[in-house]
Amino acid sequence: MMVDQFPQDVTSAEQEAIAAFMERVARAAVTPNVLPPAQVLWWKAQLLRRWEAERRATLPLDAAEPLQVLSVLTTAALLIWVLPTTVGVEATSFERAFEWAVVMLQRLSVDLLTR
Amino acid sequence: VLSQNAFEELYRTAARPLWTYVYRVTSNVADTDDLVQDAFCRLLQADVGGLTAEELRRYLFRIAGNLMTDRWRRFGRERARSRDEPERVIEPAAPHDDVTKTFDRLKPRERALLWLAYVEHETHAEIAETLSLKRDSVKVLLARARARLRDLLSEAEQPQRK
Repeated sequence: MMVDQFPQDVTSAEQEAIAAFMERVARAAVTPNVLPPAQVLWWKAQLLRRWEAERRATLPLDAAEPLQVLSVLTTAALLIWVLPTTVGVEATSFERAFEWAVVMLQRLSVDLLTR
Repeated sequence: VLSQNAFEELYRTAARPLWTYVYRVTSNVADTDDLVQDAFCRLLQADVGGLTAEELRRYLFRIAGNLMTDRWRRFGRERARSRDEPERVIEPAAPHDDVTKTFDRLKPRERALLWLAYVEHETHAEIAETLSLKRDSVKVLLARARARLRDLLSEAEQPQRK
């Protein structure tokens, strides 16, 4: 027993009783029925390490996915905004089509939510 | 990272003591099996180059200690979330004798402290490292654990005297 384990808060008789009790606890300790072989854990750890490396490698791709969607939506919105003036078509007809699309999307979402 | 041979040697010498320590603290065979395997896997994934066998063993116990703490926290949160559900039953590996029953009445951290001090014979500094505590906290917590065990032992003795 390490010297600095002995406290001042219990009497020496109590210290001995605690030490004796802990010895009994240690002796009464149950042992595992079957421990898995070391090789199994070794290969399991290798697999986990490989998966972790793959996860880290694909992390930037996963993070970039929402950005891709956002950039596509932004481009589409810009095209709708800019296209009428570039091709010389009246803006009102595009605006009407855009409003119609928005209304349809709203109806669709309400329909899906109330279903 | 450990070589396969070094790992197998560590496993041969440390697996059973680690299993017993974790089981004594958790009192649950299934949890112990999971935690011990997890601890070894995490050790293999860690950068432990240059550590001696004794340091590796202590590091392993530290990983297991952290895993147990994580599990208690998660279990505590789950229990707080579902208060209506019955508490998980802890199944003993073997019929509990009086010694085990008394030891199980201590809090998990108290069991860990006493086990490391009296069975693993670790110093305050080593216990602090293993349980991720400050050295001064170990002194206080260990004193409390001892006092609590003393009370439990005297409680257990009283009916026998009657």
